[in-house]
Amino acid sequence: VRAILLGAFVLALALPAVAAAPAIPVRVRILKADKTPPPAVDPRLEDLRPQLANLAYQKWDEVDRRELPMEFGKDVDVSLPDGSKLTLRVLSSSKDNVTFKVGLAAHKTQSSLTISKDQRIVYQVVHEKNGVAYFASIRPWPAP
Amino acid sequence: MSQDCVKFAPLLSATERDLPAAEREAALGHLSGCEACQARLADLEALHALVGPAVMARANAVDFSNFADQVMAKVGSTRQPFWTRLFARRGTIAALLAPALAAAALLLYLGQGSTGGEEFLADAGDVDIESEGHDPTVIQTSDGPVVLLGDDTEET
Repeated sequence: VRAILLGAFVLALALPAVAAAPAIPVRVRILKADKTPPPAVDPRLEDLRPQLANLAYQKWDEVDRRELPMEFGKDVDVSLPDGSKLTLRVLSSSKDNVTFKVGLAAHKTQSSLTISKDQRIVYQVVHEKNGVAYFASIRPWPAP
Repeated sequence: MSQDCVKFAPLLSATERDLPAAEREAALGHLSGCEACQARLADLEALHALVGPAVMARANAVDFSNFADQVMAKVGSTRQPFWTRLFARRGTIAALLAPALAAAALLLYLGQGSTGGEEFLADAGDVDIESEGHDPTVIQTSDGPVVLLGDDTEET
């Protein structure tokens, strides 16, 4: 009986370490995209240039930036320029990948996206109006 | 006591198997012609006849049925420290190590595998989009996905 109790004690010491999964640092940036020339990319968005080059927008500006410690399974809301909200949740994380849940209630859209830890998500969050749209970039473990 | 008696008298109590054949023959030869040694042998045989049964009788009188219990009782009376007794038992160590190893294995598995509040395992590049009234477009690039909301019937 004493041995079983001691074993349970050891297990009880180990379990909190399992349960207390650390928060993931996530950088969320809100980008303003404009189709009006001339082409210009905010220098702060240089790391996103390969992804942004796939889109038909000429100007890119960073209008907001958040550094969020995200806990597994907990929603984090980010306010958007049109007054709506972007809801983010870290669904899971493995050795190489992270899966995010991205929700846009205003657009009745919900997505789960899995990226490797050196990638980032560029997600349109506000529809284009007069040639201007807004995007969010989501990057886990951002470089300092 | 002659020189031969000094030599052979100590051999009187020996058994046949204790002596080499030549020495046994020599001893018997001396014994056959020496009255003193014959008397000594008679005394020895008489002594053995008295002492042997007496010793066996004493030994048989002793009750050994609870000998083991008495020994264990004496051993148990000197209690060792708890940790000494604990780790002297293999079963106890196994009982301690089993959950500890299980916890370590669980930690290792979770450290290498998936963590998080929900069971969701996916590969990089997996995208699942649910949208009402839109037709989202996903562009996969080496730096990650780009998601476009698509047409919005309410705003177009």
